[in-house]
Amino acid sequence: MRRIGTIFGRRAGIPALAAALLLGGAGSASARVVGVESQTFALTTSSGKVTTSDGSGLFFWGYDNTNDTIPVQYPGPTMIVVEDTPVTVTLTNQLDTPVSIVFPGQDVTATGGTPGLLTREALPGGTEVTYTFTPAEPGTYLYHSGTDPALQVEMGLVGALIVRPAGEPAAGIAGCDPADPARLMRTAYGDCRTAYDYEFLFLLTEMSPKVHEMVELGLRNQVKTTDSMAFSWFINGRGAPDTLSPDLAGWLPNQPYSCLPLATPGDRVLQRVIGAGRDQHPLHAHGNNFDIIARDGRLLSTLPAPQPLPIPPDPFPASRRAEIGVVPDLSLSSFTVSTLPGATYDSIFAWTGKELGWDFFGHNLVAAADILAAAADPSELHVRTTLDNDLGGGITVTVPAGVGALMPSTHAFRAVLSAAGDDLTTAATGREVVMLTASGPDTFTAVRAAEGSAEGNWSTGDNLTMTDHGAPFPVVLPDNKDLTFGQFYSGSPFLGSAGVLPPGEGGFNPNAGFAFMWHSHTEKELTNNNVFPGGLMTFFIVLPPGTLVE
Amino acid sequence: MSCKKWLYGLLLPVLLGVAAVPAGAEVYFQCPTGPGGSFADLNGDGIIRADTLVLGVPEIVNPVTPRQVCMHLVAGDGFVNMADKTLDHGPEVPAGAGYPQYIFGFANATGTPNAQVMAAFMLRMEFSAPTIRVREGDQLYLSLTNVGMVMRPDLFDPHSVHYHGFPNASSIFDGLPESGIAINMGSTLTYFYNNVEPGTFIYHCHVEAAEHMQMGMLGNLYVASAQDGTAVGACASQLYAYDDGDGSTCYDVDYPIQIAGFDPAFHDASISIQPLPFAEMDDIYPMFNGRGYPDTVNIAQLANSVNGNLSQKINSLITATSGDRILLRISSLSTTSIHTLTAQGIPMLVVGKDARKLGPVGDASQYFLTNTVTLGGGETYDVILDTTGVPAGTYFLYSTNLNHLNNRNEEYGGMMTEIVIAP
Repeated sequence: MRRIGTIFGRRAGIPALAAALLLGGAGSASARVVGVESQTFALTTSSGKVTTSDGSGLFFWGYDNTNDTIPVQYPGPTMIVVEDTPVTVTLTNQLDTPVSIVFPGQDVTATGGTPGLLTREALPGGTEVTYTFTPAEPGTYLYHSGTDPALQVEMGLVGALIVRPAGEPAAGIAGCDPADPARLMRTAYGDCRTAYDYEFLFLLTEMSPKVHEMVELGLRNQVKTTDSMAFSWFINGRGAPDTLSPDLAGWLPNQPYSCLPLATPGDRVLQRVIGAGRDQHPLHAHGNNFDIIARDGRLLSTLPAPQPLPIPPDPFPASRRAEIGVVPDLSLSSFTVSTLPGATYDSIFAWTGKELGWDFFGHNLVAAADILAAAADPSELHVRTTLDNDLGGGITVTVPAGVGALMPSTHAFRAVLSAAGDDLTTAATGREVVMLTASGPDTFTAVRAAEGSAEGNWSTGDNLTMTDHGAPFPVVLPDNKDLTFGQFYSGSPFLGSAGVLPPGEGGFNPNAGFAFMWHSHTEKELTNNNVFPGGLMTFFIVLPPGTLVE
Repeated sequence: MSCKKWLYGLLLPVLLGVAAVPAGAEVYFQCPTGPGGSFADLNGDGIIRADTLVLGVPEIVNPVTPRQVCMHLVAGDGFVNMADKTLDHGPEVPAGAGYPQYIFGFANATGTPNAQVMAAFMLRMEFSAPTIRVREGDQLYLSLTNVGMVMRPDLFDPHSVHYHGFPNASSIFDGLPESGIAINMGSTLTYFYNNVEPGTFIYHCHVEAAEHMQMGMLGNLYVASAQDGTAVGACASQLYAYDDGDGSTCYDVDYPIQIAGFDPAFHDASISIQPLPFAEMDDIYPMFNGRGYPDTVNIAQLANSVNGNLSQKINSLITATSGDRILLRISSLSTTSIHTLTAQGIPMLVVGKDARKLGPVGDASQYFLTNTVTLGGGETYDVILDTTGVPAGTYFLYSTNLNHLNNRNEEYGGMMTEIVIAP
C-alpha cells in the first residue's frame, strides 16, 4: 500500500507494566478520565482529611457521591455527562454550614433547599436541593460551591464536569486517521480536529493550611480568606508524588484521582486542565508544545464542531496541522498554559521524537555493526514516501506532489533511501542516508552518502523515509559515578532500553519510557508545606511503542 | 542576619586547592570532529560555529555536520548586587553598592582549556546566565561543567541545563534530573540539540528547581529564523522572528527581556547555611535580565562588591531609530508570581507565543495589538514594537504589577527599563 505519509501513531495490544507502575494497588492509570458516567447524581457533603505529601493531613470539606463506595473526596466526583441530555444533581448536606453547587457555563434550574445568594442551598441536616441543566456544548467545565465560595472552595468543595459530544459512540468515530480510515478515535468536541487517543484531567488547586486548621478547630468565623497564603498545591486533589499513585489507591481514601498521563510515540493526548483554585498556575509540559484547542468549553476555531469529514485532498475545514493530525485553526501552540482561576483549557499533546538528530531507539544496541541496517520501529518513520525521479548519482530528489508539504521546508533534515521493497521495518543493508534541503514544494537538494553510508543508485519508486533511524548517538556520556540519576531514568538514553544503574537508583520506569515532568512553573508551588519536592507536578511518560495504555 | 558573610569572597582563593573533587571526575568539553579536526572560538564571541570563518579559517575544522555549534557552560555559585544603591546596607557593604546576593548560576567557559576551567570559574557565576543564541538548523553541542558551590561545601548538588520548550525533547538531554541525568561536581556532561524551531526559548537548571532557579540559574535562549538574510515580504533588515513566509515578523533590532526576581531571605539563608524558606518565597527584588532599574539601563558589565567578578553582564536598555520595528523576546522565570508588562506609548503587536508564530505560515491574521502582555513562569512572548510615527524620546517598558517597581525598599526600581528612540 502506497502511503502519502504517516499522520497518526499506531498502537498494538501488548499489556503494559506501566498500569501498575509504581506501587501496585487496586486501581491503575487510566486512559480515560476517571469519574462517574451518568446523567443523574446524588451528592452529599461532609468532611474528611486529605493526605499531603509531606506526611501530614489537612481537614477538608468535600462532595461525596452517595451512589458509590468512595467516601467524601477531594476533589469532588468528576461528573461525566453527554451533551444535549438533561442532567440532574441532588445535594444533601452533612456539614454544619449551608452548601450549594454552581455550574459555570451551564444554564441551571435549582429547586428545593433554601434561597442563597448565587443559587439555592442545602441547609445542614439534609434539606435536599435539586439542580437540573442540559449541557448545550461539549467540553471541560467545573462545579463548585456557590455558598461562601472564598472559604468553601478553599476547603475543597470543587470538582470537574466533563461533557462528551452528543451522539458519539463510546469507541469513537472513524475517518480521523487518513492512513487508517476505519480506525475509531474519540473526540472532545465531535470532529477529528479534537480527536484523541487518551485523555487526562488536570484539576489544579491549592490549600492554605491555616484556614483548614482553624475550620477544624471550629474557628470558621475567624478565618480571613483575604490574607491566607497557600502552602500546598494539588493536581486532582493530590500533591506530588501522590499524583503518581494509582486511582483509588487504598492509602489515599479521600483522594481517589491519579494524574499520570501516559502515551506512546505519535499518540494524541487530550489534556483537560481546570484552574479550580483561586491562584493562577502556569502549567508547563516538558517534552513538546501542546495545542490549546478550546477554552472554557468553546472550540478555538472559525468554524464550530462537528464539521463533516472532507474528501481528500481537501483539508479538514477550519483546521491546521499539529504534531500529529490536525487541530482547530485558532488553536494556540504553547509549552506553558497560565491557568486562570475558574477557567478551563483543553489541549492536544503529542510526542513523536521527530528530528532529534539521533536514533532514539538506539538500534545499534541490537544490531551489531550496521545500525542503519537494523529494523526500524514504525513510530520513528515520520514521513514515508517514494522517489518521484531517477536519482542515480545526482543530488535532486523529487517526491510525489503534496508530500513535500509534510517535510521541513526551512532547514536541512535527514532521510534514508532504501530499495522499493524495503520500508525499513525489517533488517536490510544497502541503505543510504541523505541530508535534504527543500528547493521547491516537492523537490530537495541532497547531500549524498551522509554518516558514512554508501551512495546508492536510486530510481523512481524506491523508498524515501524522513527518519533519524540509524543516526548515531551524538555525544559521549560521562561515567556513571559523575552523574546523578533520577528515579525515572532507565539507565539508558534510548526508548525501551534499560541500562545498568547503581544499586538503589531508578526503578520508577520499568518500561524504559521517556519521562517528562508536567508541572506548575511557579516553582514555589513544587513544594508541600515548605518541603521540596512535591506540590503541583506529575510526570508524562512516553512508553515504548506497542505498550498498551489502559 | 549574618554580619561577615560578604567578606567570605575575599577568603576564597586560599581554599581552592582544598576543595574535594570526586576521583575520576574530568572536565571534558565535547565538540566532535572528523579525523584531523579542530575547533576554536576564533572571534571570541563565546560560541564556536562551523560556519563562522575568521580570516578564511572556520571555527570548527572538519566538523561532524556543516551546521555544528559548540558551547561550554559552567555552573556553580557567585555573587551579584541588587540595584538599591541609594540605601545603606550596613558596614559590610561598600557605600554606593546595592545589596549583595549570593547566587547559583551559569557562566560561559567556551574557549577556556579544560584544565583551567575549575580554577577560572569557581565563584564566578553570572546572573542572568549567558544568553544562548543559535540559528534554525544549528546542531548545538552544549557542554556543562559543574565547578561546585564554593560557599556551600556542605552541598554536592549536581546541575543541569533544561532547554525549556525544546520540541520533541528526549529525556537524556532534557535536563530534568528526575527523569534523566545531571552532572556532578568536577565533571562535564554534553547535551545535544538539533534546533529546528525558531523562536524565543529559555534555559535554566532543573536540579531542585525551586531552589536553583530562585538562586539564579536562569538564562535567555533564542533561535534565529532560517529566513534571516533573505528578502521576504517588505523586510529591509532581512531579520525575522519566525519563518513567517510573508515578512510579517520582520524586525530591525531584537532584545531578550527575562523576568525573574530574588527573595533576599532565601538567598541570605542559603549563604548562611540555614533551612530554605520555600513556603514564604516572596521576590521583593524584581528584575529584568538579572538587574533592577536603573541598572537595567546601565550598558556596562557590572562587577559585584564581594569578589569583584563581572557577574551581571546583561542590560535591558532598548535603543532604536524612529521607524524601527523592535522585537522584544519576553520570557518569565519567576518562581513566585505572574507578571504583566507594558510598553507605555508604543503599541505592542504579539506575533508569537511559546516559540511558535501565531497562525500559519503566510497568515498574519492571528497577531494582535495590545497594551499589555501577561506571563507566568515558563512562558514566552514575541512582541514587535513598531516605532513608525512614534516621536523620538525615552519610553518605558515596565511591569504593571506596580509593587514590582522597586528594589525591595528602594522605590522607582525593579522591573523597569527604557526604550530610547532616536530621531
